[in-house]
Amino acid sequence: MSKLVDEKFQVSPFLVFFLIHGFQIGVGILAFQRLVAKYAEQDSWISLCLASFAIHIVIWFCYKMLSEEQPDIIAVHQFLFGKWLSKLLDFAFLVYIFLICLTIFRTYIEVLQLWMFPLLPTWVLSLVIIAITYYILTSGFRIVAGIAFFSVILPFFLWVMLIFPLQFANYRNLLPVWDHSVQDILMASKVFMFEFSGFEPLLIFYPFIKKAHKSQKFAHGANALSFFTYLIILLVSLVYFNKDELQHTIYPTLSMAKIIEIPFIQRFEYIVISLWFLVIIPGISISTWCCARLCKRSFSLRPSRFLPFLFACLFAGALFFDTRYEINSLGKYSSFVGLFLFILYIPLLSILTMIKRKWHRMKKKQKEA
Amino acid sequence: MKKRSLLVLLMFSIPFLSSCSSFVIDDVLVVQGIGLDYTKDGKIRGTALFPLFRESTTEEPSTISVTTDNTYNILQKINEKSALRLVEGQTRILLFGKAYAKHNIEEIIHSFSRSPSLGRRVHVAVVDGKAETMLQAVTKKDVKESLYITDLIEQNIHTENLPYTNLHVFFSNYYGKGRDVFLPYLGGEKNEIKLKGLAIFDKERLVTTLNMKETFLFKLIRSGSKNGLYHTFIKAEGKKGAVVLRNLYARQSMTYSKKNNSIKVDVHINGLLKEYPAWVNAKDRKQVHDIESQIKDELTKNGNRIVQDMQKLQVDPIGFEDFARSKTRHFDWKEFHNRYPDMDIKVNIDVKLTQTGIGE
Repeated sequence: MSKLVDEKFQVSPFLVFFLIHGFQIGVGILAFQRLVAKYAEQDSWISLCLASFAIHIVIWFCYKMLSEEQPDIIAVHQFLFGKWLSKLLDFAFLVYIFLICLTIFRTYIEVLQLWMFPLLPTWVLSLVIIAITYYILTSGFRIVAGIAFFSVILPFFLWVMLIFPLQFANYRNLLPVWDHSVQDILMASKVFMFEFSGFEPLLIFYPFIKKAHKSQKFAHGANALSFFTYLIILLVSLVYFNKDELQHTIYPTLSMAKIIEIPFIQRFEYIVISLWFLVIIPGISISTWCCARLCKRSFSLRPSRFLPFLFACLFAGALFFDTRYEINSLGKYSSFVGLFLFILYIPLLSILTMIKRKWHRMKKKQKEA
Repeated sequence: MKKRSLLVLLMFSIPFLSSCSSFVIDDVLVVQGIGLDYTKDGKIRGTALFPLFRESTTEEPSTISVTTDNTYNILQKINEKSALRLVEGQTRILLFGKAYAKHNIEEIIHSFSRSPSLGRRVHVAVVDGKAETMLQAVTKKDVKESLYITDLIEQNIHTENLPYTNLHVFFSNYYGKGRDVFLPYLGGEKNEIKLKGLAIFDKERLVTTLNMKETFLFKLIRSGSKNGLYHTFIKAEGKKGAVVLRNLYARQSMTYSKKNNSIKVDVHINGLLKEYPAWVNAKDRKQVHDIESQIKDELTKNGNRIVQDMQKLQVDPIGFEDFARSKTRHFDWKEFHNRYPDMDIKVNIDVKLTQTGIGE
């Protein structure tokens, strides 16, 4: 079988690490504390461990599902469900990825408007971000991977930011450990699961990786680093805010940056928000790239034709979801779909693929015998 | 070709971005202090303190005051009185007049906790009297420095008896269950600005104040601390004399027993005898021990008194309730709240004198 993607378009396996980690860390990390602390309060870190472990399993399933013969989810769909049903499923997957993209896109614009430019209209910011994303996408997947690489490396010094709130840490906030019912902890894990979304584009860019089966350890590594990032930020927020104050804070990570005061800059959160653009840009560009790729593979649409349409949808979507309430419910919808995808769809799909492959092999053997 | 068109698009977006809003320091009113008072006829009087930048490099502190019937439109009303546009991002101090603090601070907390432009290191304090007078005192000749009050509080936190407070600590005490708000208490007559102690709140109302001596003990009992001075008297060999204890480093630990309904607070002070009467022989171990135990008794007695006062008022600025929560599974707030006033809380303060100065 000839290769699906020419080698000159492929990237090294280690870049999977940046592609996945860069997507996983997005806008969610600015605001997740309040949502999880609502259920599990000081025990949220247990939920985080559970959620991260569950995602490791889902990634393992992904790698089980993909192989030389079925290198991406489009091929898997076709393998399992035939020509027409598979197209429908491809489309559903495309809608899901678009929904994630829209969530990141709109939430970041909301943060910019809320914290820095209350007067700036949505369409201006949308156009700027879309222009940059389009510029990245026209250069192909290798550049998308490069952007992901830099967006992980460059904002790395923001870790220093987490030292300052510790000055006001109240470590008693973490006690008593395990004070919540299993149900509460699972509810919080459910919220966390979606925070780890960002590995599912793997199902599409898999054929673009050289020696793709060797990249599994990098995917797990990316997930582990995301887990570590979330864990540290969660622990710092829990000791810095007490849980009742946390419920009054919409963006705890940014509110924590408010305590930083250096002589030449009084309001450090402005720097954080501006730098955050680097953090969200791989999320937006990888997801839009995936949408274009899906269309090309499944519906044979040329990306140069499809991309303007996609960005028009993104633009319209950003204008449509306008108030805090609407943006909030947008996040809720996409996390609900994401949860279904992680817990049910991907494991089911990969189990079915494995069974069908085995069955094929047995048939082959019978024929030979 | 494609790249060029993109470049053009990017260039086009630049004028959009640069036209957002500009803040030139001469064209805005940088608010550095806000004061709130409750007038006799039930209205709110708000005062803004800001530096006026003159043509030379000097700045002159100045104030604007307005009276409204509602906390929320104070800044708007001040803006109506100002030739320059008001920006609040540089606010460093928020003052409540005593009457305002006694009335209700809920509204202003609600408004400040949602404002994105305020930092979290803003200091909050209560003024004995009117906040307006205190902010005006800053503009008077002998001070003339708009950050004076902030610096005063900051300095006292780092070197003296004041426990650490700022807007963040204030919010977490206010919103957090199992703790109550405490704020620095300022006072002074006639353009004098002086730290008087601590103001203790029950939820959103001021209930009592502590003087500086009690504040020293409060800081010790709450968290242990570095620094702080305590002035007291000792008796030895039939003579009476004044001593000043300087706290070098104090460690605090608490234990909670649900069964006995009791909390025990242990504080160990490593101190320095800063001032002592000439007739004391600092080389004499026995005499030093005697002084240690006298100071210890005095501190323990007063410490227990403060805690009992707080229990009587049903306020918990030290955070006993939060401590009990951290030690109890399935903590019942209501039940604890009911037994808090009769709870057996024992403070034990231990003093160890490690230094007595360089001369004898």
